[in-house]
Amino acid sequence: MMTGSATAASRQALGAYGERLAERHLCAQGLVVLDRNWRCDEGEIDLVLRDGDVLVVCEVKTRSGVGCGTPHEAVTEVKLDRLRRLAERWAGAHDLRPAEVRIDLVAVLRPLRGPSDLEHVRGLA
Amino acid sequence: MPFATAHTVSLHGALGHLIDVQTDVSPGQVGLTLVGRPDPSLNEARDRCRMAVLNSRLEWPSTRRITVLLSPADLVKRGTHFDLAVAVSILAAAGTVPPRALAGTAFIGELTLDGGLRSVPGVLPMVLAAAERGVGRVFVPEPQAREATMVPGMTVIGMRSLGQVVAELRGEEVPEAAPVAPMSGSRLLSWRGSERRDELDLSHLRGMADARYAVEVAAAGGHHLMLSGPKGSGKTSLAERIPGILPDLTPEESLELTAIHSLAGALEPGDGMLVRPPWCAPHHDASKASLLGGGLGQVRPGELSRAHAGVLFLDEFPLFRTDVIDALRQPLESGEVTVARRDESVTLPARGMLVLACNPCPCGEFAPQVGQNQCQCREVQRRDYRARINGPVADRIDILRHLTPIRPHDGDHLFDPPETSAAVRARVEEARLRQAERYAGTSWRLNGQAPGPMLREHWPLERAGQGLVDDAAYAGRLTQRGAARVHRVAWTVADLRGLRQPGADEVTVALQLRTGEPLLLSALERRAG
Repeated sequence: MMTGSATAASRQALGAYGERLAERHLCAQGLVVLDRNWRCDEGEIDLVLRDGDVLVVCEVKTRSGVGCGTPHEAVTEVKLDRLRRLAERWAGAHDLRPAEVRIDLVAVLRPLRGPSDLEHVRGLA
Repeated sequence: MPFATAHTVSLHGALGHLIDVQTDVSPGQVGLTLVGRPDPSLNEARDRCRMAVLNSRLEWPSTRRITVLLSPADLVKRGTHFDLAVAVSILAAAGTVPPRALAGTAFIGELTLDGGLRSVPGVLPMVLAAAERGVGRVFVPEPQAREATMVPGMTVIGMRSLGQVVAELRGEEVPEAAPVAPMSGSRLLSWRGSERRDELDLSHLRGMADARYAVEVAAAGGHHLMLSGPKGSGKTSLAERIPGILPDLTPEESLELTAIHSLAGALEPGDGMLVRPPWCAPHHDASKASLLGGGLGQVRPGELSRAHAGVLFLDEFPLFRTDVIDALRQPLESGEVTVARRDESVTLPARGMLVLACNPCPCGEFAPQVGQNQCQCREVQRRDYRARINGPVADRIDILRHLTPIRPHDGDHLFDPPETSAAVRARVEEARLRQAERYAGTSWRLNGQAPGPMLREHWPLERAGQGLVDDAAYAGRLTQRGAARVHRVAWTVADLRGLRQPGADEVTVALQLRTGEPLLLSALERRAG
């Protein structure tokens, strides 16, 4: 019902909005952005950051409602595997050998009315 | 704190373990993991719980990683009654229910998708186990609240739905819910004709003085009995009247028996404690699992355990499958059944009286007297049939009686009507009291259960009596096991006569009962002492 009239453009806009919101939140937390929307043939990383010595690959999920499940539930085992591989690819491409890699999720809920809700989940699985 | 613990009970046979259902709800990849050796039926609890919580209009932590641990983690957990504890534990960890409300409380029940609470088998033994481990309050499905209240000192809360349980834990007013359907029973092999059996009385039977006495001795001492005789000689009629001459169960037996029936899922919702000795008469088609216990998944008690403290009657005993007959050997000796599985071994009590009935030959017409013999069987058939009767199970039978068909006017007592069951029961009760007094402080209650070596050491026969037993054993008429059994029966005969120690007379009667020789009339004089 809420997303019934969503076009590709509006979906992209929602995603971009979420990613901006997430970046601002993570920076405020003291993380340093290294890269955004990095692509290779396997897929895309929304945000790459540095948290102290840890390389953080962050997936941003934005939803305008929980009718199709929470943003959290959208990160499946398959998706998580791909993010792990992407993290390796990114590090390889930039010739980096991080001591530790972490995969984070930022879930953004942007209802039609009222303020947006954001949650940062550190270390999925 | 995103962490909570709820308690429930896991059953292994009649043994209960208190299980801690610990739940952690924290950020991470969304999902519900159940650890601590759940079996497949329990793994499905994840889906049942989630839907039950959502359909009860409660908050499910769908943005969190939920880890449920069933501890101690090394026990295999089986069954669907964990649902309620898992759901409550998750709700408490998520903050829907105050975790403190779960302290000292056990949760038992299966959830339906709409949040209803379903009945499960084995509530009484579970609550017993919980009480022993210091749990003071228990939530159970409403139809089983009555069963659970049999445990002294336990606060029982019968509920219809998860919504009601949550409201109670929050201290809110409990909402209305649709009533829960009682559990469907599994009563396929035993008929509970208790109404019919109430009408049976020994006074309806004519004659058979000899067999009546044997039945009385068997009932008084809890001895195994075999009745043999041609068809129509009254084997079944006599056997059916044995429960009627057994006294009411002791509180201890009553609890054990009710727990066994609860495990078997054979308790009606309205049933209170079982106080009368049970009567189980499985058909000769019975499988080993139905008789001894077993089944798929959770081990269910078999007829042998259901007849605990009562009578297990195997009519047409030689028609039972050979492997079934052989499987009876060990339980008859030890008074308990052990069912071993790959992961566990389950022991259930089985201290009932075994009563066997058999014909003298397959057609049932054989009579040793030449003139009366109408048997049509071939000699080979008769021999095969007898081989089954004389097998190792027969060695574990204390009392053997041959019945003869009653002829018209046999035992018509115009002036001396046959005794009623009540009169016999009074004597049996008295004899049992003597035994209880003698065996106070031991783990057995009746002569039939007393271990042979203990009897010889602490409760010997008089010297003359022991001499008779030794002679019979020396002459090869008794095995060592047989000698111990004669010893036990001699004590019961003495108890019925009110003697302090069995002497030569009592041993003679016991030997005759054991070997199947007819008793002398003087032996039937019940008050010989």
